Amino acid sequence: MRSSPILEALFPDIRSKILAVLLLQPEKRWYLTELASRLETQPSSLQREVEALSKAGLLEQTKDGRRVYFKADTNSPVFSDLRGLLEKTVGLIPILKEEVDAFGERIQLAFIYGSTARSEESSESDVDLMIVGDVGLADLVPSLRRAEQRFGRPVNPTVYSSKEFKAKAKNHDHFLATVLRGAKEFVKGNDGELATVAG
Amino acid sequence: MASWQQWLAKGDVKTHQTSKQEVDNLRALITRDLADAAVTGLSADRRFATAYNAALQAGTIAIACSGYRVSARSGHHRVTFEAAALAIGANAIPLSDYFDACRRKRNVIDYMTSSVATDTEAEEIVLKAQEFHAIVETWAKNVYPILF
Repeated sequence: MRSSPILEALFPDIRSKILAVLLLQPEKRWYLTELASRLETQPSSLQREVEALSKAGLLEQTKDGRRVYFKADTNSPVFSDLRGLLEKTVGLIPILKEEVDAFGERIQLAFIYGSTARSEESSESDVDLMIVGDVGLADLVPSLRRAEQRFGRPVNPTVYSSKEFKAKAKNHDHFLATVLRGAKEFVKGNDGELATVAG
Repeated sequence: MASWQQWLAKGDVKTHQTSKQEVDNLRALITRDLADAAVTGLSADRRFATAYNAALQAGTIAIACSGYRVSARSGHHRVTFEAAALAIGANAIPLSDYFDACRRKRNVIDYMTSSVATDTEAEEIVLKAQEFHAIVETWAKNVYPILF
C-alpha cells in the first residue's frame, strides 16, 4: 500500500492503513488475520485500532462462528467524506487499476512515476502515469477523466506502443531512462514484466 | 459544458462576423500544420505541438462559423475546444475532450521541458487532428455553405 504525506500527518500509520483497506473496498468484510496479512503485520498490532474504529462507528463487526469480521460502516455520517480523503491520497493506485484493467490485454504495463511515486506529492501534484500497450490517448481520456474526478488531481499520461517503448529503452532514451531509474508504483505489471517489455 | 450566453457574460467569447477570407486563411494554417506534423524527421514533441495547433485552428473555424471568436484571457485553448464541440454537437465531444487532454502536454512541450511526447502520441494526434478538421469542414459546409 502506498503512503501519503497528507494521511501520515493526519493519522498514525497503522490506523490510516486499516482505514484505506477497509474504506476503499467497503463491500468486503475482513477477519483480523486476513487484514494483518494484507497489511504485512501481526494481528495483535491491529486489535486495538479496529476496536477503536468500531467503537467510533467507522467499522462494523459481525460474528460468524468463532470468527469476527470487520467492514466499513457505510452508514456512518463521515463514511463518504473519509473515503473521499482516502481516494485522493492512498486510493490513487486502486482507482487507476480499475480504469486500466478495463482495457484488458491492450495495456501491458502501467505505472506512476515522479513525485507521486516517491510519495512526495502535495495535494495538487499531477499524477504522472506511463502506459505501454496497444492503446491511444484518445481511448484513455474518458477513463482518466473519471479517475481525476475521484482523486481530485490531474493525470498526465505518457503513452508508448510496446515497440516504441522497447526501442527507446534499448537506446537509453533520456526521458525514458530517467523515468525507469526513478521510483515507480505499478498499476499493472511489476518489475519483472517491465524488464520483459523493455527487452 | 457552458453555453454561448455564459461565455459571452464571462467575456470568454465575443460575437464575430467571419468571412470566407478568414476561414480560408485558417484552412491554409491547418494544411500547413498537418503537413509539417507528418514529417517524421521532426521530434515527436514538435509534431505533437504542430498537429495540436492544426486542431486548435479547426476549432476556431467552427466557432467563427457560429458567429463568435474566443476572447478569454486565460484558458483560451480550453474554451476553444469546448466551444467547438458546442457548435458542432455531440459527435465532436470525444475529440474535443481528447484535444483538451493534449492541451496540458502541449503546454509542457512549448514552455517547460523537452522529450515529453512519444512517437505513439505524435502519430495519434496527427490522425485525430485530420479527423477533427474533416468533421469541422463537413459540419461547416452544411451549416454555412456561403463560406465555402
